[in-house]
Amino acid sequence: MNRVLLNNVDHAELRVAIRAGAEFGDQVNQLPIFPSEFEEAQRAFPIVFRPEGDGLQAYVLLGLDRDENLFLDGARWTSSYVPAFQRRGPFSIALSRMRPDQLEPDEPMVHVDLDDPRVGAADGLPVFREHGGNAPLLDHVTDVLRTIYEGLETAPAIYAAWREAGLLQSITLQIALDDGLTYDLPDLFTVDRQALADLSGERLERLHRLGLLEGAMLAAASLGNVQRLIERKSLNRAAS
Amino acid sequence: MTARVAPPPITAARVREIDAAQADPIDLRDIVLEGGPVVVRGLVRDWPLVAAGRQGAQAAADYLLSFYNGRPGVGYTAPAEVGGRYFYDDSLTRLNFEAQRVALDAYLGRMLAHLGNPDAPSFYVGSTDLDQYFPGLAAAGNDLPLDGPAFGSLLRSIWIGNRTIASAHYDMSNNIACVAVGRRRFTLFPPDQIANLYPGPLEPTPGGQVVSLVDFRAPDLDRFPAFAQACDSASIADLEAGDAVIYPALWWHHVETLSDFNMMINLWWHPSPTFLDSPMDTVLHGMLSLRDRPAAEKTAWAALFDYYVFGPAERPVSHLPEEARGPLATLDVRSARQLRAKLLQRINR
Repeated sequence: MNRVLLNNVDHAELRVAIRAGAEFGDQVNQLPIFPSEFEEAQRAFPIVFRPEGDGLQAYVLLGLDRDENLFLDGARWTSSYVPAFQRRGPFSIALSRMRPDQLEPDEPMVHVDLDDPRVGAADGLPVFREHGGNAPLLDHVTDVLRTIYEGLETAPAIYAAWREAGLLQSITLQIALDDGLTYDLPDLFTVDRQALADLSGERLERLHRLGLLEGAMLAAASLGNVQRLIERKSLNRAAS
Repeated sequence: MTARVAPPPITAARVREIDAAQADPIDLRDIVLEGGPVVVRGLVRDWPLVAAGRQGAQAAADYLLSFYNGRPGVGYTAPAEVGGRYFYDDSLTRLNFEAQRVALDAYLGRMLAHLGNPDAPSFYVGSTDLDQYFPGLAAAGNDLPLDGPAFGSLLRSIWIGNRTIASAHYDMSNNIACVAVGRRRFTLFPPDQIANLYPGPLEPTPGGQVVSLVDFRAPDLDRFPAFAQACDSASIADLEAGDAVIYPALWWHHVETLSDFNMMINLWWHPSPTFLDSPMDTVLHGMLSLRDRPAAEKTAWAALFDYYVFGPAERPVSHLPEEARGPLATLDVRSARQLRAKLLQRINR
């Protein structure tokens, strides 16, 4: 890992390949997901929550066994959506002081891991334009990183509001395959459909007014994808 | 008390003065429209903060801090040997003082604890938004009636320090600087004196604006010979507590405090709509687009700029039908957005 602040002088000629794969951390059975991704994520994956620190972090479930991503086929995702956490490739975002003499609030800045094999790859896309402007790849990556950064900033308050409204329920997710194989996923929280349906009055009004109702509904709807996970897993087992 | 004496002023010329007691009511708008600096003696003599200052430094600090909301501010601390001149080290790439996030009450306490100590470090709280740190202070009678569109984008700030020097620089807004506690000297230069003031690096800067490299305490005329011409255009405003100086945007001003404890409240404003960009960005882009071209081409571009930008705004459009004017017509919120989109797209190459 050799993470450096990206700039258009030192990295004028940098090219970066867009590629997925086990060697890039894509072969995992869950990945963090952020509220602004819920709409697209819930079409493909179950969204669950795990206690982390003082709060909760949302994850999409991708597989059942260790290091199993049922949506990864070699160097390519087969799902309609790829979580921003992996879509960022070798780029990351971190606070960085623009000028050491100024006490301005630190700005979130784009960093790149120069040791990542996708960096400098022959089939890579340029990060900067000829004279130092942002190439389309960088604009895209910046959007992805903004999703992550803003998600990290805003998610805790959103999940706390859901918790306070009684929408998050502690469960052990039990998954049984057709051939009798079962998986227990303990210590999870999910958005409870019944609790959503029971919301009323001022509490409902307040969540709606804050714009927090839709995300809860999306997270609840995502649980239907557990069935899709089972189907993919069964297909895989039948094929192997 | 301190043995330090203020250096002599660089000119005998004084800013024009009026006396608030003699000219009632003062029309601040009229003064501003005159286009040059004016001292108004006693403009804020009735402020409670000024009255508190007459009781001493501690009373002024106590009164001010009774409005403090606890928000951390920035304290600029310089070692005693720089003599209060917030500037660079010899490399001109680093500053000669430290900026720290501080609780303003504790920092003022440090400042007051050193009162009368000639070897004290310099303490400075500069350009601190009054309403964000001391809410209610302005409304408690420490304010000026600057209403109406002529005083758009009004920003009130407070400046607190012991013996400090802000090297000559310009700001992009019109200014009314009101001395609340202590004595303060402003040395003012018209904008056309820029070359005679030897501006320093674009960054870093001691306080956000480019500063003159000339040390006014002992001007080095071998290094900075044209500074003599700047002195011929300079004028001085020596202000007591309760006095104010008014001057237009882009006038260079060198500001030094002449007392052991000082407070100033200033009001910055400009009447332009907020969608207008900083002309400093235009200067930077001019370096990217114009400066390094052949002299003859630059002269030709200067004629173009005069026609489109610096000359009368009607001239490039008066012979065009309205629907054909595009961004040549005076901008509004909508056309400013369209122009910005075009520029963003063109500049990203």
